[in-house]
Amino acid sequence: MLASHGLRRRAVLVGAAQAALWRSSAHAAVPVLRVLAWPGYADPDWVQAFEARHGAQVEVTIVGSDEVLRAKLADSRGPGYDVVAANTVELAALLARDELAPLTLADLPQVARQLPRFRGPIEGIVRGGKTYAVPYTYSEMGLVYDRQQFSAPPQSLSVLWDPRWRGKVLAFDGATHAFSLAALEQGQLPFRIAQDQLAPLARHLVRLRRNLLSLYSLPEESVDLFRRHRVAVMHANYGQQQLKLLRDAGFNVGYVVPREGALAWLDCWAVLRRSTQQALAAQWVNHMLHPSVSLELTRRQGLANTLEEPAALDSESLLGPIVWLQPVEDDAQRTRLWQRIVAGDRPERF
Amino acid sequence: MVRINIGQRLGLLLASFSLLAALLLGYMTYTAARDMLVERAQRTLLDTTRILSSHLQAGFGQLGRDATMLAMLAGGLPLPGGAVPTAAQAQSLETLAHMFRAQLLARPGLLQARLIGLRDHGLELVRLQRLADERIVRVAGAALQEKAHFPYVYETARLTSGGVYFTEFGINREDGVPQEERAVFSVAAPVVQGAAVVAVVVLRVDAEAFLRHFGATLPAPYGFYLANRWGDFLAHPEREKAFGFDRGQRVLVQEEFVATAALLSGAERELVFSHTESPGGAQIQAFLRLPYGARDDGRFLLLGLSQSMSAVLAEAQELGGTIVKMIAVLALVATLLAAWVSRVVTGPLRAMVQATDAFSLGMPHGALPVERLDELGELARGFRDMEAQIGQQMDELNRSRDAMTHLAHHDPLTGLPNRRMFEQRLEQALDRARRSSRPCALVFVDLDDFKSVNDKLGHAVGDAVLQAAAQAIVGAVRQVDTVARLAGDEFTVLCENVDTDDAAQHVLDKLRQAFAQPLQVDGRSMVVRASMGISLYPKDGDDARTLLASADVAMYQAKLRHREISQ
Repeated sequence: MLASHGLRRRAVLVGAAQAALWRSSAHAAVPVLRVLAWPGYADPDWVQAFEARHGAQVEVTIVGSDEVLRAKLADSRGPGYDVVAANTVELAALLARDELAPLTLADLPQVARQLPRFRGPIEGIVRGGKTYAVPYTYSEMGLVYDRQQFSAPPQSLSVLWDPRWRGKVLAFDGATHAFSLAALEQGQLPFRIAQDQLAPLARHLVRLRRNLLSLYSLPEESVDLFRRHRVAVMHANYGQQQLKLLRDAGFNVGYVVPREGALAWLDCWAVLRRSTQQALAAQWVNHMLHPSVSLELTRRQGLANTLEEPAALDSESLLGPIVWLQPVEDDAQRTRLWQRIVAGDRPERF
Repeated sequence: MVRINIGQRLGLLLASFSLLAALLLGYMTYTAARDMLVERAQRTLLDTTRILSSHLQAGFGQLGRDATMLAMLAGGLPLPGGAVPTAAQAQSLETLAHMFRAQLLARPGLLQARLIGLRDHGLELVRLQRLADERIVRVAGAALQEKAHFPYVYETARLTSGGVYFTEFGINREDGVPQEERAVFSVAAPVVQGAAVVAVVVLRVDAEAFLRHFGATLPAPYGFYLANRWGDFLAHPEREKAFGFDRGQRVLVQEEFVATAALLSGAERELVFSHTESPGGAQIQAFLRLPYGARDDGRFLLLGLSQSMSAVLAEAQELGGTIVKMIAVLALVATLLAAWVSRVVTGPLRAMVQATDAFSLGMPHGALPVERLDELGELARGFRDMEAQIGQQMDELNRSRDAMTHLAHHDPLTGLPNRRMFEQRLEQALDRARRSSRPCALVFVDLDDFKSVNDKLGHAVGDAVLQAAAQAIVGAVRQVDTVARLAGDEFTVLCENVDTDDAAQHVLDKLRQAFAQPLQVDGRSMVVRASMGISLYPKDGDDARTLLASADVAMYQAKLRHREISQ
């Protein structure tokens, strides 16, 4: 998850300043709802609308990274937070520690407006038939391809391994996603790789590496590589935002979720178990799903909402499922292996 | 309440003005000096940054030449073309390994020297590397890795002989050893055989050591910044801000120093500005684009230096102290000047005030500053003229008042006191007589047949007769006695201190003698007779009315006697 949020989470400082501003106006007599969120997730006008409707005061704390989010939630000082926006991996960890409160769908009428894909049980936020979080925004990691080199959109992740495109493929330099990607391509469970499958997948990733032009870390880097080399296809870690960046740079590129599916981070709203005002917190979650907020989120931040399919994902581009990220079996092990793969170890070393 | 005179007020005003002017001048001098210092420091800082930039470019150039030289040497040797190298090819790899070792020994900043073939996914052919304990080892066999997906291979492969490729600065993770995870960049040169690039020589450079080498020549207070072309800090005085992207948290130069966005976009090539928002206090910053990599690929680094504003302004503070001292001296001078002015202005004014006071009391006063040519002189002259005019008018007024008084109390024809004045004198004389118990006499003189004089000789002669009679009466009595004309031809004489009847008789005798001779009227002699009656205080009465009546009666009897005599 290192850089997966890189693009959208730039305005951390601005957000923190806004949070401080709101806090100073907090009033003791009315209930105070404490919200922990990412920049752009809880803009002041949405907060004001909520405050006006529910007669509550909202304190928004903005975080810029998963690490900070974890630290804020772990901080036992102060009243703590009532409601949090976090991705499915973080939420699964919170749920495993029993820190989330179950949600009653009757309290959340807006959920009915969500696309079916978000209403079904999502791994990591559902336990024992109870739902613990409601999806808010997401970004899938599809394939970006050069329309001039592809007569038809690539259908499968295997295009990344296709020797036809050797030296014209870009992949993201990230250990966790790389193994998940390889497992997905091989038809395996992406987040629960069996121990005896790690080495074969590592060798598979070496084969991917041999087919690459390069690995990239920053979205700008990928644009640069498109500019300097005739890149054919790229695994887009930054999803549609990366697509937009390339199109803005003048490239005629297409975007597809291949039939094996696309990994995707999914940020959800969840109510914390220690909150003393869970009903108000549920109101907040419901408020965030209202079209006046969710659709506006897409307009303002370019992030996908859960009410409408993004324009880039029409039926021709959405060939497979969107696979929400989950905690993986052993991140450290994946990282160790990936470093060696990147460094150029030959397959026989795995 | 303290009375502040005009001089003090003027002095105070002058002192305030001079002090204000001094303060203003001091402040302006200070700010101008400060601006000048800042500007100079900015220029110097930019110059220093330029020098540093050219040093860095020279350093990069040297590295490029090293890589090119090694690539040229490798190009002249038979290199492996298949899976199993020939003996000659193996020998050339040995030779290159020696050269690489020598190179690493000669250049302590180099971490690695490699020959990477373009075949077999960029498999390393020779790899010499410096370990953390400074040992230089050759990595061989199965540990050699495939590097085709690194830009130093795929970018360098596109170059022609003599070309050099510089990688981006980054944290080295290629070795999978935490100790080796440090900031590096690599320099690569193509190995050309025939017309084709067959391999690349790659030198990995310890970025920090490389930069330190140049940074060491900088004076201590400078802060050193380096950013890549996207703005990510590669070097920052706060170490944790460098290579933020490697930790998934980008720290960007254009966010800390907004102005540098123009450098990143290419709108500017160099920039110097004051940055006031830094936590360690204000500082001046110079940034410039440092061309990086091949001449034509448009890549650059952002090189920056900072200098603390307090160091820059130390001189200005000193100047500020001097200015404050100067202002203090000026204030003192202004105060003295003000006191002097106060004196100069108030001296003459005070003289005028005293003169006015004296004048209003009718007393003499000292000289006025009429000789001055300024407004005070004018005022003094005006005052003098006014004084003269008032004096003149007062004299006239007095004269006219005296004349009025005279007219009210005297008979205009003879100049003798009239009835009113006589009555006053009589009352006063009676007062005195009562106090001193000394008698006084009142004589009534009435001209006989005066009516016929008027009728026969005319009023003019009548008047002349009256005047002559008056003179005769005045000449017949003592100077202290009062002679008055009551009306027409009636005269009275008041004689004080007439103690005896004899003395009273003497008065009457004298008067009778005066009329015994003809009087000189308009140059001719004329006989004028007068009847007289006397009354004495307190014998004939003790108040004016009684005395007058008594004298009148006596006079009337005398007149009757005169008629009898004349008939």
